[in-house]
Amino acid sequence: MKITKRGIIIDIIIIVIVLAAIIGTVMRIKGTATTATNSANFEYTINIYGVKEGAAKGFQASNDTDAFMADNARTDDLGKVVGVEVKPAKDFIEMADGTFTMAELPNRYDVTLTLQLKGTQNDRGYFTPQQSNIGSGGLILGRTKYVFFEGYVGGVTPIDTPLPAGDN
Amino acid sequence: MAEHKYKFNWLDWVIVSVVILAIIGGAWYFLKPKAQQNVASTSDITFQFQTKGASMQVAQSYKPGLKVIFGEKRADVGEIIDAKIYPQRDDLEDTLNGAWKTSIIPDFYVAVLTIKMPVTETASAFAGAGENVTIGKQTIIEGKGFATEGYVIGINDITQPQLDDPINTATRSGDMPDEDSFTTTQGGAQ
Repeated sequence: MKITKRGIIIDIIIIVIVLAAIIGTVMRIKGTATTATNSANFEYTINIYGVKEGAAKGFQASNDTDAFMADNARTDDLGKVVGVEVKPAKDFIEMADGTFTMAELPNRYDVTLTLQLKGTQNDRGYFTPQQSNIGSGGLILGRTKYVFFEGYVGGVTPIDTPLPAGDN
Repeated sequence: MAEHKYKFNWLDWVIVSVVILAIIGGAWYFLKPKAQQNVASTSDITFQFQTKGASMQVAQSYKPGLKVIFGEKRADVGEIIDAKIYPQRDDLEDTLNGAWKTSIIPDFYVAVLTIKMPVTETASAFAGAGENVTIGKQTIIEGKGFATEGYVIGINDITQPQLDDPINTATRSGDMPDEDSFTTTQGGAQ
């Protein structure tokens, strides 16, 4: 059967559409090609405020385990928990004389998680391997093996030492 | 009219190959198992589930031995092996002395249920058939004659909080508690 010019043009159009769909899917998953990213190892903290005793113990049990995002749409790797600090929670009180004072909340604890992550970075910031931004003040819904949490990113610092193979 | 028989040319084969490779690549990317999911074992765990704001009548409807459906996906079934009732407390500002005080809310109760349920334990989760058992995540339980929202507050012996003595242990007999026996110390379920 003879290959007509019209047939070739249609085939080429289909190939272009398929390739564009593949490239678009890859860009959607890996991030846009216009944003140059480099792999980066970084350490960051997440502050969780006012948890109860059971959750505080759950965070302590989560040391040296992996953490993940846990909102409806994202399950990104958040890295390995390398530090857990638990201290009594405080909150402010507006006094009768119109001033503010800080006081400990009974049976509540503030938790600071320190995590290390193999992610990516560029001029816009640090990102998880799945391209979610990790920046100071950012709200993260996450979980460890034991605890679901809602916390805020504290500081982010790059680390030069390569993370062990197999770690996030 | 002569029958027109279609034959694949080389461009058609290229298209078919690209599409097949894309499907295989996509399947590999999305379906590849994660390393931590390879090590898994199924076993019973016990966890504590806390539900607040109940009347005494409702709190006493949670009884040991009852089957419960756990989670919003209604895919996991466990069993209540212990049920305790506490007075509900809340933290209030003491605006004269600059301190937080814990006070009992009258006629409101907290039930803490210990539930046994099979899960698959991996390095990263206690995975039920429908959802993970995770401290702090709001979820639901349903049983014969009740359904309620609450939170998992402890798993196994590792993370169980130290609670005060409950106001009574009469949930099995259905006796009403003596309200004068309520403790006013801090701690316990809130």
